[in-house]
Amino acid sequence: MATSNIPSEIIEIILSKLSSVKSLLRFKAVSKSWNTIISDPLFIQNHLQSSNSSPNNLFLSRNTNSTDRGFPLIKFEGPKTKPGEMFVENIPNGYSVILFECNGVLLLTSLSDRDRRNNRKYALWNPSTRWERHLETRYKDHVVDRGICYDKITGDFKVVFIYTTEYAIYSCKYNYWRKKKLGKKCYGAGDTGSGICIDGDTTYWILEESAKMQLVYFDSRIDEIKVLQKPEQLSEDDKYVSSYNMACLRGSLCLYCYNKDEKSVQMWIKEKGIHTWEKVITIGNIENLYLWSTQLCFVEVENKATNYSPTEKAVEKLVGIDIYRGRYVPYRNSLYFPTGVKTKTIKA
Amino acid sequence: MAAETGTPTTLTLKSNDDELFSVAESAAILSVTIRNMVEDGCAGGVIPLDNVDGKTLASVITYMNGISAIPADEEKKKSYRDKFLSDKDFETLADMVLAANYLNMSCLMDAVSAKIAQVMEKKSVGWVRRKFGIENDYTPEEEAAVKEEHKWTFEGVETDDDN
Repeated sequence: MATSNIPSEIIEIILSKLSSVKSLLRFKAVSKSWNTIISDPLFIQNHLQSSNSSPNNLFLSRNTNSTDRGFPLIKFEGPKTKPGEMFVENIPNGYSVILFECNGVLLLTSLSDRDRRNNRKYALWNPSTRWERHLETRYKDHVVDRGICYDKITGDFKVVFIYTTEYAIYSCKYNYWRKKKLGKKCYGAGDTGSGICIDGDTTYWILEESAKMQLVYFDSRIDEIKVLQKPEQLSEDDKYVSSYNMACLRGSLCLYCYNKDEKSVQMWIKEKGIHTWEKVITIGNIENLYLWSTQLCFVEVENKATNYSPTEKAVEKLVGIDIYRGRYVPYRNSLYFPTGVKTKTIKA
Repeated sequence: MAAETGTPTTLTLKSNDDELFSVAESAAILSVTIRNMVEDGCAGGVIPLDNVDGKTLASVITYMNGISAIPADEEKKKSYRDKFLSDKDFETLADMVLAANYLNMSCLMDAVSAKIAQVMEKKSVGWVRRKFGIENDYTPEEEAAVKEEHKWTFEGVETDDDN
């Protein structure tokens, strides 16, 4: 029996709360107007916001670890991680490393040595929708770092490659390449890259310039990489500080690092929209910590967060913490994918 | 503004099928629509709610009383809402989402629409069309093409013969 006619504004609200992307894609077949709602960029944005506001605490391991089952899916619950038996399958053929995540879209590379050295073949993939797109860079330069960025205003996805003295931008919407000078000589930090995307639209990296840590970000409106001022205290303590890393805390950029002299982890949060840092916390008495390689995560417990690492005990209570970046990337229920391009569904 | 009287004010609400309900003003003004009427000085008489039937209004009032009895504790409110909605069937939820929208009650609107979304998750396209009263305006070819595009999403769907 047909029930009351629910107006389309309310249908839109209901659908934005349907976290399962699989169900949403299926319901495109309900009618033309449902297809229109579910395909609308604004709906996709609202849906992601709704998923982000009730976090699933699911994270993807960056590496398949040579299993053919896919990327391991990990659920963080309290100070315990559940490696479990979950995997995200149907990976684009031949790709086994996640380099970057933005709005649920992943930038993938292949593990093979040859591809790593040349670093020219990449795939964009949304595991929720199973859409994939392949990308071959034009440039043969040594890649220092890379990332994806979503431009909310134009609806374009941009892929950024940072080379030693230059950087290249690829626009998914307009299918163009652009190369610009960095104005300095930079080196990368780590195999899978340092970058993190905050709020879906600004991408940050940690680079090394003349043996000093440098924060940069990509301004997608003018296609430029700019320097982000470090927290003041960090510039002074520079010689004692090692192992920088970034995280997304409640939608803001967080920088944390290890102070060798004090044996402590220090943490700052950048205020939204402006370039000022606020010191959040210092956690003392941590021996021998390499933030690049140690599994460190921040888990929220009863509105407070506990800093936890499997090799250490829960160290100290923190103020609210959200998402961790390092060996894992967030797994989001997202309908995002670069628009204006043909997508290919993967054979199971 | 409502007059300060010391004793709790009671409002009379009238559904579109002419049922009358008494409800404490403090609970009723969870509805922005009702609050506006009260502030405009309509509280003296009966407040007519032309878009809500008696059965749904009774349910909404149960919710208003239940949720306003809980002090400012978001966890407890959430578990009340979950329990309140747990035994409602689709038709009731659909009536409630329309009522919550008309009465402008954002907390009920959020909870009911999330509940409907949860009910829909494993359902088939046919189930959705029937329950929402939606006419399939695709040609058979168009429908086949849309389904083919996301073939894998039709795996693991509940069978279609339930209510």
